[in-house]
Amino acid sequence: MSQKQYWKGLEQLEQTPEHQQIVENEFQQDLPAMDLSDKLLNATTPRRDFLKFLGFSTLAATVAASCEMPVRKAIPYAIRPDAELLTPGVANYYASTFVDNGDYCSVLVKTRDGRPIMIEGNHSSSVTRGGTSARVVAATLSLYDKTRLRQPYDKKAGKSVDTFEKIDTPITQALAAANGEIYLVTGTIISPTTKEVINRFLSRYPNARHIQYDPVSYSGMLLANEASYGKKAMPSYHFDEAETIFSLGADFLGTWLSPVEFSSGYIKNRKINARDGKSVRMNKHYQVEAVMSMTGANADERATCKPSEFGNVAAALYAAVTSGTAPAFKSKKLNDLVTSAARDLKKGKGLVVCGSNDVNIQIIVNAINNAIGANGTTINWANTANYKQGVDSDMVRFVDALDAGQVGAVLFHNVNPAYDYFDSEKFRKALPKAGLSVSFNDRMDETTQLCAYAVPDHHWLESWGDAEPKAGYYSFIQPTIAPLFKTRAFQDSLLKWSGAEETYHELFNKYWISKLGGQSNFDKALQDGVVEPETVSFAGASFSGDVNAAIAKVSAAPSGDGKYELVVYETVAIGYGGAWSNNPWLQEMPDPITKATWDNYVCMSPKTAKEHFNAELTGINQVDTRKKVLKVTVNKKSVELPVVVVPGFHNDVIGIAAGYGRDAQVGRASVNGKNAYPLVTFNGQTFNYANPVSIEQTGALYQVAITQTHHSYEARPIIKEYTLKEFQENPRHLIEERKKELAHYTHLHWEGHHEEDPNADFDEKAFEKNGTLYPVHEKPGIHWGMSIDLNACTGCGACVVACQAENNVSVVGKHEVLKAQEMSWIRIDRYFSGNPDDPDSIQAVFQPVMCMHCDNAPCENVCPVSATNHSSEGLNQMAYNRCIGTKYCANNCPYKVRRFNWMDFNGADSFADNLYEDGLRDDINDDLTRMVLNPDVTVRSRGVMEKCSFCVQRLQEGKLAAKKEGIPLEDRHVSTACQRACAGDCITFGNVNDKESAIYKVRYEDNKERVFYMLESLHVLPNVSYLSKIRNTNEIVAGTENDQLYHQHI
Amino acid sequence: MAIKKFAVACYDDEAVLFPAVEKVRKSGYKLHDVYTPFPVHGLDVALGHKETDLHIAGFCYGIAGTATALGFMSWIFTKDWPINYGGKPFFALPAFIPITFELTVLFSAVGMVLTYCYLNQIMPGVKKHIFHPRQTDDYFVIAMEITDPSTETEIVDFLKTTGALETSVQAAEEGWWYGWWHKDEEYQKQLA
Amino acid sequence: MHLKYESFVREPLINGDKTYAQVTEDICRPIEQKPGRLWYMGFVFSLLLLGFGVFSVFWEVYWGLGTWGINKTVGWGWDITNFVWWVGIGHAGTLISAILLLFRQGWRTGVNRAAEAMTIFAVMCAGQFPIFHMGRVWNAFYVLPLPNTRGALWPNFNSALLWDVFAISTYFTVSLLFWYSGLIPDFATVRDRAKTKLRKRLYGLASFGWTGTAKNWQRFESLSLVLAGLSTPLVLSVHTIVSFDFATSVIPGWHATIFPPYFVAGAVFSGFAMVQTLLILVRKIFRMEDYITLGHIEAMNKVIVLTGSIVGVAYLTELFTAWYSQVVYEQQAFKWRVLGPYWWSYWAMMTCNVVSPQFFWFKKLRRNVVFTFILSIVVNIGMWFERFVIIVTSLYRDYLPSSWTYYSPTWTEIGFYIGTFGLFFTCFFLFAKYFPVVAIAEIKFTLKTSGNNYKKKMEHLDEKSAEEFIHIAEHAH
Repeated sequence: MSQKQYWKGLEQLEQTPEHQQIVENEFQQDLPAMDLSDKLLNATTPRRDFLKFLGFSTLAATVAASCEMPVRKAIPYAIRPDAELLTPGVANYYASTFVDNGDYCSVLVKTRDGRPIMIEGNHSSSVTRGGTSARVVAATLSLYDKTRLRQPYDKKAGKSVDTFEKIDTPITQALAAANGEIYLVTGTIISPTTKEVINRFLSRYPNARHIQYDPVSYSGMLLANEASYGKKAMPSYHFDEAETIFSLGADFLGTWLSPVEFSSGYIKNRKINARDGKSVRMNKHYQVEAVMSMTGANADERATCKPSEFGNVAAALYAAVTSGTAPAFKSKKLNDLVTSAARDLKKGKGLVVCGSNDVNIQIIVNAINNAIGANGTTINWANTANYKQGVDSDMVRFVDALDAGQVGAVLFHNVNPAYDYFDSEKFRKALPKAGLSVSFNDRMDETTQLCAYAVPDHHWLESWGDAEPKAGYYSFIQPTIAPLFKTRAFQDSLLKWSGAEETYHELFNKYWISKLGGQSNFDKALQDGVVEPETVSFAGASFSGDVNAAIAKVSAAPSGDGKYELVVYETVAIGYGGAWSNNPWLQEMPDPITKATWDNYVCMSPKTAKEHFNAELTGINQVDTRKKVLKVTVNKKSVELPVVVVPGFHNDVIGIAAGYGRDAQVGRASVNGKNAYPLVTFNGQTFNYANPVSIEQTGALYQVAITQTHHSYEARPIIKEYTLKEFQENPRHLIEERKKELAHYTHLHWEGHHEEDPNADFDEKAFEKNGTLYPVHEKPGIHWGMSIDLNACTGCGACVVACQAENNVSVVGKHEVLKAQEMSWIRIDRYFSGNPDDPDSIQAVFQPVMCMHCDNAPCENVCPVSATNHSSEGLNQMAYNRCIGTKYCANNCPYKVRRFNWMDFNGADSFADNLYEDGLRDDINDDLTRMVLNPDVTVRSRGVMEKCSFCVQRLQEGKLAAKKEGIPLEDRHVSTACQRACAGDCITFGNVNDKESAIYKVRYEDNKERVFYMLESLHVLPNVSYLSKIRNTNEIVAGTENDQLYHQHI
Repeated sequence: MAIKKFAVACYDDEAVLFPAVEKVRKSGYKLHDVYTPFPVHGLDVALGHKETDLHIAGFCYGIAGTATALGFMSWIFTKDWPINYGGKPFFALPAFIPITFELTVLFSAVGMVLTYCYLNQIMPGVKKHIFHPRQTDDYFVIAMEITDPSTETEIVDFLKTTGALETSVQAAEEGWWYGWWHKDEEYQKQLA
Repeated sequence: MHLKYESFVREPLINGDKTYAQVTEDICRPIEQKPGRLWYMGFVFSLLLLGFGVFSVFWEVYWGLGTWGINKTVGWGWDITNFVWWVGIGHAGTLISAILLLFRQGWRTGVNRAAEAMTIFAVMCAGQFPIFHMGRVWNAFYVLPLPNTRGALWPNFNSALLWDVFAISTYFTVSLLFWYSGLIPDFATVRDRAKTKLRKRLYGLASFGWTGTAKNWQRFESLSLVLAGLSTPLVLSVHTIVSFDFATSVIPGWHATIFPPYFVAGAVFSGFAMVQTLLILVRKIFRMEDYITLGHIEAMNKVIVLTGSIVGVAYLTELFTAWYSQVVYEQQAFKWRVLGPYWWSYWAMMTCNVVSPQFFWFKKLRRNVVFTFILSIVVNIGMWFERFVIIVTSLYRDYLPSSWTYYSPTWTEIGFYIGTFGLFFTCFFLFAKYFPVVAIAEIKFTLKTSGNNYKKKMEHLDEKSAEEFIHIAEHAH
């Protein structure tokens, strides 16, 4: 740390022994946090007292953090190096790392008064580039999850244990006495020091084995790579280098491998700078898939096939790339797509990825990548990725051993086979046969319930740690809060049990200080959060796989008996399940494609639904929330789930999301839906997530809470789409449209004939002035504006959760969502166009919509009590205290972005005992959970209207910062939560009156050709502008005669 | 206010009432008042009452309302607390019209009714002497004030000649008072 | 002047040989005798409805508007629908008493008292909805321009909803004054007939000590004339302003300049229908066939067929304007209104409001009490649907298809509506029992011009030659 050291008093300067003494004994009496522990663990303590202690301990930890001693440990992210470490009311940012098994993201954690309340991306990481995902942002809520285990648990005794010593002894004894193998089952571990710890443990117990298990497995790829390149590893994919991307069922923007990293890279080449005019370029994205994934929705060219045909498609592409033979599938679109994809891939800078878990398919994919020279250009073998290391056969072997009673002891860390193992029945039966079973999981989940001991691990926001997402790329985890409960770091437990003296933290420090060479480097590293190689070195790998054998195998493979095939997929929101299943923010985040919340369901194409299950996507379906329930059976295991119709699904394919239908003890929010993992199969080598399925009707009905029930944008001018070709031919197309549409209001006919310069831009000022009878208000000083790039938005929903976290937006629960009473301030409208019966014809577009902060806001005029009015900075502001809730403003909002507090969702009401309870969302009002609330934002009471405020609290903060620096406000001072969360930087925000600001440049210089405003003709003068969507394809379906969704008004 | 003596004559048909009223006015005796169960057109003319100015009062109140509304709203939106609502100008006259109109009507109506009550001396709890219980039913009543006790019989006889069905002499409070009805009966007793 | 004459060809407005005394007797009877079983049954039933309404409102206020079916897109549902419906009903009362007074329509005398009462009660019911549709009803006073401790914090005078506050309260006050000023002489009549001391005192209190001197009557007439003159533009303004709630918005289907006249016509339409419903009941229950005659009923039926046709034209004009505007949002809004998921409400409105009144072109049906009664109810159902159609089927599919939703009410909303019926009929039953339901003084005033027996006396004049007639007229008495 290069900051000045101030000495208080001569003692410090001279470092007298007395002073040393004082310094060391600074905290003579232990912190309350420590000495309260017994009380904390005393089960008889009333919860409230417990929480008081808790709050106090938190604060104490905070205070401590502000003094010298802890400073040595945690280094705040350097916004202002000379800042006091904690000023009440001023947020501190700590660089840390989000790690959930293989999922990785480098983040900044915003703490207020010692509470982590917000997670933002860390721009100093070249891997995730400051991006986040919904899950990353929602992690704070999981930290305060009230269903987390609060102390160790001893199943035999049937009660919680108050000190770790009490369980360490029996466990160590059991480990020592274990007859048979000791298994340490973890998720993918990407932490070097943890690996170190595990090695110590393994060396302590020679009969111990460590296996890694990924509920959603990638071992097909690992094995394929081993077969092709001789390394059982994954390369790092550089979507930012790729100009042609071919994805075979890989949802790389949503869930596949490292979506945040891939999204930011992918979007880099899809951002268009209209200034380049005719020479604009963007990558071309081909997608062949069975279901409608978020990635598929963003693809330029998309075709569908059954999962059982993936092999053939891969083979066909390989053939097309190598020998140029044309594919011969039934679907013409598929043939054309493969052909043109092959053509583009051969141009170089191509990248082929595949979501299949089948080794042979992956070998073919490797062969293609090798053939098009992707290795070394878009695929980098120099820094192999560590995201997924689980090998399915290991897991299966382990369960067999367990079943055979050969396992003496088993330790589970962050895995939950009792829920997500394909044959969980067998596992459940087998587990008790183990002599000792310990779970480090954070809650009484399905597996932990069966274990003899629960030794809960810290939440990552409470712990130290590190991660190595890619070889040579390091990233650090700093605690941002003192442990809330009597938990212990997983590594500490292992160290203890392997008889080591030192704690994990000591080991961690020693390891890194030696590795980075010195304390100061380590401090710097902690400060930045990441340590990365100076330059990216690309390396290829020599392909030695037997592709023909692979092709032979896949073509020999049964193409799936039975008409339908089922795909078990991860949702963008809660992913594979885990702790996320109990995260109300994620549960209520509408799925990017189906826009459904709180449930999983059977997705199928409209045609299939209509013709075979008479549940069609028209008329009453848009009105009625009840859906027909189907019984889905895969090799004798079946679940019953409601149908949700999704255009773009292959007509013979249905999909069910994993991660739902959890045990009640996992948490109230998690119980909805059904567990889909039993529908996964094992093919002797890898897990199979797509299987032949039989479907029957049950006649039952079930309500699914869907936030968007109309799917076509009715060819209305609320979204502007162009093909890349159209745009290159005439970049000014959109400007001309605007001029044409609004000419009448821009140049008044009674002011005489107006000689329009054809090259002039659309005259917004004239439109503003002449579009109204009234005089126009001057807009001096700051005028806030936002621009959203429809090309960059993948619909991932990170912004939605970030907004919820930043602005204390209530979770309303399934019952209220069913009544369309949800409250999220920013929503992502998802529109389909094309023919619902032909999945290959479907095009999708995502449009984030929040308050437009119109300068002529219709909502302001109608509020009888002037609770909403216009600020001098162009904000459409709400005075919550003044609002009486007539809802007139919401009615009169053309964008329908105003949200009403229908019930007392968060105990902010003056009425007694009328807190709304949904059964699912109740935990959200627990005193513990409320620690996540942002103190800068009012918690709104029942009966009050609210809406996006452009994060006004952040704007005020930014203005103050600028003021303190004594300079006019600049872009770096202000950002909105949604903007920070976006992995693709698709949101630009700032002061429009500042010609230097990014927003000004986007709107009036670089991208002015693409700018449009929603419903501009209403002359409400919105302050949010959009950039038109450019598709790298031949046709925009929306509005054409092929757009059946529009013609049938679906 | 004082207790006075009145000679009272009752008629059951306005066709008889009108000539009676003319005679009474010619006769020179002091006419106290005429009571009818419903508005008899022309009676006020026959009695020589001049047209009432109530409606003029109403007009003035109305103007007051207009001024109040316009002044108040303009002051608030231009001086006291100018706010930008949806880009409208601070002084948005068209938007003020509806409320201005409503207040005009309100002021005028309320003001008029109050004036009406004041002029007619009617109010909840106000009591006046009823010369004949059927004067609000089907009788038209003429009450003559007996200024000089000596002329009492003479007046009564005269009234009989005007075609009165009944005649009587009553002592009564000539104005209004608060209280219950028997209080009036007490007056009668005192007199008798 | 002194000769009251009305041609014999006009049918009498008061049947039977009535004298002034008889009139008083007939109208005061219900007040003075014990009410019949019908009355008690009706009254108790109304109280029950009212009770249920109070409970529903309590439930909504305690738990929040989430107990209603309205949502992020459809912010107003049954609440404002009922508000506009009740206000509309109210209007006929003022219209009958005020406008017909200005036009010197003798026939109003039979019905105006009841109609005005209906106005007042209807406005009372209407007022409940804007109040209890607020999310924080305990802060409802924020709408009043009160100086307050929060500094210079005033309401927004640009808001149509605030105009409503002023319009409705003014309307209520003026109607009340108008009504009561007419009641004072009649209360005096009841007072002077009263046998018991209590009656004497209460009606004495209510009659403000009215004695009916010539000067009082003169002022009385002047007052009622001016109040009538004020009420007429007022009643028009009120529904105009109510229509501004929608007309001044930006929502397709709301943003329409045709609304003010269209709403006023609709108000008169539904109002007269409601008057029919009530009066047909009153004349049955209180045996007032002599004062509320077929003539009255027919006259009002004529108004109904006229106004019904006006709204019919308005509906068609809306469709035309939408098509002619060439604005996609407008066109779609009306398309969804007529053919969308809410098609049934639109067609219910069309049948009840436009088709059904056309039957009144037939004199036979106009004068058929039962048919009129049924149709009056049909019309009111139709007018309810009109407001529902305007409010809900404009909101539910507006600009951005992503936000399109569907709306159906919950029991609390329905209970609230039922409750206002309870309020209305409770008030009306009390009125019918304790107030003179027909304006006694005014009836007496028209007795000699339009009373049956008096007309008979005049019969001979009709045979006289013009000269003789004039001679008689001049030398009468």
